[in-house]
Amino acid sequence: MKYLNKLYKFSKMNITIVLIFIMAGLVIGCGTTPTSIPTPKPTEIGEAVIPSPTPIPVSSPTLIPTLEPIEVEEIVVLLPTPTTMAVMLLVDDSCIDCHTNRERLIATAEEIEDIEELSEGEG
Amino acid sequence: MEGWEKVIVSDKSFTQTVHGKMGCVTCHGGNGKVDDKEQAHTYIIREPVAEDVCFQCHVDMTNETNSLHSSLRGYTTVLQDRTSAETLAHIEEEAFGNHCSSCHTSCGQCHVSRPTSLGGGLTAGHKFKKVPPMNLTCTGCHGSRVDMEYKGKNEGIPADLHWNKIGMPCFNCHTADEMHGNLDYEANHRYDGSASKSCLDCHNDVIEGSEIAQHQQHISEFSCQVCHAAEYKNCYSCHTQKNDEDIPYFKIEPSIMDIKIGYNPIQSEERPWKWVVLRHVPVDPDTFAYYGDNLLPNFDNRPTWTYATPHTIQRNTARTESCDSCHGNTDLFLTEDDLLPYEIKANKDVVVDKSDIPYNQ
Repeated sequence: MKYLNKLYKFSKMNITIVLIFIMAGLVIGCGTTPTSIPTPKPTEIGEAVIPSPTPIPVSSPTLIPTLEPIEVEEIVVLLPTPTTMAVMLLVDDSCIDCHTNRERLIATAEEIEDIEELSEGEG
Repeated sequence: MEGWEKVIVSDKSFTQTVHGKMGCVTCHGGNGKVDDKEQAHTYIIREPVAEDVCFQCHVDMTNETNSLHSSLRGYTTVLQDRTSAETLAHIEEEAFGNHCSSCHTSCGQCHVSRPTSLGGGLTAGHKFKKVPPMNLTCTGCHGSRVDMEYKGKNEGIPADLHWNKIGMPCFNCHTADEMHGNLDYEANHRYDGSASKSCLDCHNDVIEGSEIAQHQQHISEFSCQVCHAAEYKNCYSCHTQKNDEDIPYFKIEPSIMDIKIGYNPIQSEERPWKWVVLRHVPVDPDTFAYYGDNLLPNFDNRPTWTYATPHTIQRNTARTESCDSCHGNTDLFLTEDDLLPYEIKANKDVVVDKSDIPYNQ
């Protein structure tokens, strides 16, 4: 019984929708006059100016060098030595150590050749 | 000086001084991190270049190009006068380097060490001396004339009064500006421009208020040295050459102590006197003959008896004893009789006409 009631309601709704579409079609089809479509006048066509084609740069093919495979036994990555500040530190302790050491200077001094004085008279 | 003595630094406190804090290698190069002598001295700069080092801080201290000690333009000035462009170039090519340029002086060769021409060597353990030690630097080079005259080392000639009485050092008259070339004129010769200090800067009472009549009579026409210089050194005939091993040397005749009064060859507003003392300089037409023929073609362009300011000043000399010490004393004046045959033309402007020698009083 319930099933028959649902079927009845569904049929009734469909009929209503169909009627609405029919009414709309009549209103559109009968209520408007046909509109004239404007025809464009023919235009004189001169010589067509055709832009010359822009040359497209073509990059020459890059030669990719062929590298011989190198056998690497051990890969060493050199990293920059860390510096604390951009100041040149002049380490010359060795200079002052030696040049204040009399004994060492005497020991390492080269003998000065006695050059015969050739000049005569007062300069 | 022994080799080690020349390079010994007095003590490590030097590193705490303004110059020491800069570190040795900043000025001298080399390698301050190694102990080995050879390695440490690789690319060592024995004498730092002033432009690279000194002038970085002492910006306005020195006009090096105007300093005769640095430029040696005194030499080139007199050479230019006596040479042609061609022969000057020839002399400068070799002879100048062999015999003249060693007299060049740099900042360090006065303020730190002895001049290289004397063999070098630190004067005070590498301390920078604002006033260089006169005996090791000034008179180290200017020895045979200035030092011996000023300190009375020539037999029978007393030391200069300024040294003998009060020990005046060179710098009292020859100022730092003169040495450094900070002058208001271009220095091409040591007698260009006005003197750093003149006699009258100190002895200004001589002009006005002097009780000495001769000062009033002669001061406008005589340089002070005419009356107040004792005998000074005159040199003759310098010849330069090299030995078989290419070592350059010179030979010069024994010098003569004498005084000659002549005409002022550089009379000017600064040196207005007519009469001055003249010193014989050792140049000779053949001074550079070893290096080529006739290299001094314009030898006659400059006198060989030149304007002089001897460092033998005395209050009393033979000339201050009496008027007749000079008047009528022809021996005291430079005459043609005093000239060697080859230098007569060169000295035509300074040799005294006998008729111009004042008569006895």
